[in-house]
Amino acid sequence: MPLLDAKGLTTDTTELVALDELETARDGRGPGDRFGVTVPCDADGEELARQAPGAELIAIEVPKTGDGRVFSLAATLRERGFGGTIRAVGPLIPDQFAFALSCGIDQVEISEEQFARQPLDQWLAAAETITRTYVGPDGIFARRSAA
Amino acid sequence: MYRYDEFDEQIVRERVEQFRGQVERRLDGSLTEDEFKPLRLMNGLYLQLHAYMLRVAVPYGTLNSAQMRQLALIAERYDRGYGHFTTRQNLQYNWLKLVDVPDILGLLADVGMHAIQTSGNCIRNVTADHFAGVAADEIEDPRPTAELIRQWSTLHPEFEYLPRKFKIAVTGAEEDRAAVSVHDIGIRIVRNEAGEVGYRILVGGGLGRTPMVGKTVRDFLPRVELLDYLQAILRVYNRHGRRDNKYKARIKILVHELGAAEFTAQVEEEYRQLERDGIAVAEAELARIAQYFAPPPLDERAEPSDLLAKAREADPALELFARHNLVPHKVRGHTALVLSVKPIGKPPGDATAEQMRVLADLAEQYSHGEMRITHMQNVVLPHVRLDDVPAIHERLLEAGLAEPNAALITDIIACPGMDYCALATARSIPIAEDIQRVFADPARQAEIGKLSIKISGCINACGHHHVGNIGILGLERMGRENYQITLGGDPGNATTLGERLGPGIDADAVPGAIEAIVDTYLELREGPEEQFLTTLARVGHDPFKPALEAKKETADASA
Ligand code: HEM
Ligand code: SF4
Repeated sequence: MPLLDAKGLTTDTTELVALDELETARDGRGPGDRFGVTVPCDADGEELARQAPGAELIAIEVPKTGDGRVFSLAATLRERGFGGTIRAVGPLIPDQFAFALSCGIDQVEISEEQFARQPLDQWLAAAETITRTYVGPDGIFARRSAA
Repeated sequence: MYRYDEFDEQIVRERVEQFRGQVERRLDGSLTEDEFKPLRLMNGLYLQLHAYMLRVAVPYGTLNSAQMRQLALIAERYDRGYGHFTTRQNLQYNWLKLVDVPDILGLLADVGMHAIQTSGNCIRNVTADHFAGVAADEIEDPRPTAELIRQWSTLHPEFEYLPRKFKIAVTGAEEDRAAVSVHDIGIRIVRNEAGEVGYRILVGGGLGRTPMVGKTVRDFLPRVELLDYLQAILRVYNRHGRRDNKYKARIKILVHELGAAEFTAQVEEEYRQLERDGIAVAEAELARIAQYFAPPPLDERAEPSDLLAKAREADPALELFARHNLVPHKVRGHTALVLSVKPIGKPPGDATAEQMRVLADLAEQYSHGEMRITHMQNVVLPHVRLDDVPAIHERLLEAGLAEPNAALITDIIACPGMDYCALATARSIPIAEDIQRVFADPARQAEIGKLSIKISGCINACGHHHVGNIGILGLERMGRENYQITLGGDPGNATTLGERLGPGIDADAVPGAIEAIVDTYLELREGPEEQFLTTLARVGHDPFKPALEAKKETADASA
């Protein structure tokens, strides 16, 4: 299924396993092998950051377009120090792309059907329509205090 | 008043273009209706019974003359010549076409206005005491705090897709005129024992089908910690608020199901762990924003005003108006003048484009260009000289805005109900009109004194009937409108939800029942000073019950 990041279509060969299989998978890995876990979006970010320190990727399943838990989960993971890739898997729409990126999500995986309706240019354009919001390192609050 | 800087301006402009693009993508099929709906809601756009409704934000209810004139222009050019002031200090247009909306948003942006997050499952327009900066009982003007929250919550990447809508209200006064304890988060500006100013934070209040009074989660929060603490509350809610049932999705249900103590513990735990990056922001921004709300230069003047006193003696209409519609101002010789946008027999809160222009002119001439929208759906000229009241009154008479009923029984709050709203189970505006007709005599209103009636056309409670001294809820029973009457609601400091008086009654029985309730009150009160709630607390609901019974019989007999 189409995988997007801030620059465009991308590919990622990280192998996804269940959380309780992560350690075994990592023990037996060869050079260049990357492992990640898939979690539901009601997962506890705090615990997850503790349980999956070695994961190279955390893929968060998003059941519905309007389900905003993915944003808080990603933000929590980042705050608690998770430095790997975060992917949102599910029916996010282009208009949520900027929020996703701001919350620390790197990749979005959507269906072929959706990608046909909402091709890449819509995603990239939507990510840029609002130059900056108030919060965040490059946000308006930060800009004002730098001025 | 707050003035947008280049950054605020840019975000509003870009938002207009973004919405234009979203409408185009909806029309070319890129976005499905389900995908488009939350996007249009977050721009304040509802699909109503007859047309599109646009809800324009009037942040913390403060508006200048140029903005009011622009609202008038939009009403004329794109609506049917009027707009509707709401109980959340917003303005709604009821008759718009979708294709016009991006242009309307552009006109709003020209005067620093927008419809961002006036609907949708996000943090809504922040409301505040409509006498901010005016009232003598104020610890601090709540508007800088409200503006800081407006900025922080605008397109906050983490909190645009909450389980449900989220409303925040702020008051800085001893008397709570912003009804903070029936909001998702209520903020009271308080002073601690050391004399420092900070915030008391209440969470989980709300009306609607499950009315609840907010619980205090922090007695005193140092002011610089506000944004981070809000972040912690919102994060707990975003993660754990129910998403399986929209009627159980508000934060009040989460607080209720977890219990206030457990909810507070979770918030405090999240707060402890949080990267506190909002503290520096709050420090710098509160100071910057507060400059904009510096009070206008008002000179102390004689109080009482001889000029006004003489004019009152000469003109009974002015006397009545001055008695009910003037509110004391911090600065001697001034007043906050309340204009009722509830003329008898018209939908409460509706103002024509012409009336809006009159208001804008009056504000410019007499009130430093400033107006307030109240949650009573009225307009306030906040900084008026007492000497100027007679001249203003004359202009109001011409414009049909001189109704001397502020806070009296005909100052009714009613939601749009069946006349405009797709969710309604009954009419509410016509009920308000019928009641206003019964009490139209100004002398009778004055005799009754302060008494609030609030009407909702369905269980969603937009008319705040739970906190009306007399509340009226319109339901539907076996194909007929049926109205439940509650007594004893109070949105203020001692927030109380009204209790049902008895079984529901028919529409045509409502005015008579209200009249009987009021007559009972007049009979039982210990003097004209004793307000309705006091009498009710003393005598209980029982003496009022016959009012309902008698009317029910007549209704049955006539049916
Ligand atoms: C015209 C169409 C309208 C629709 C379809 C509508 C819909 C709703 C719904 C469904 C709720 C309950 C939501 C919940 O409890 O989660 C609600 C609440 C509310 N509405 Fe409306 N509304 C409309 C107009 C208005 C107007 C005109 C006002 C102001 C006069 C208003 C003010 C409110 C307020 C203050 C609440 C909050 C009650 C609470 O705190 O729970 N609404 N509305
Ligand atoms: S209370 Fe019901 S009828 Fe009235 S505006 Fe709200 S949703 Fe509509």
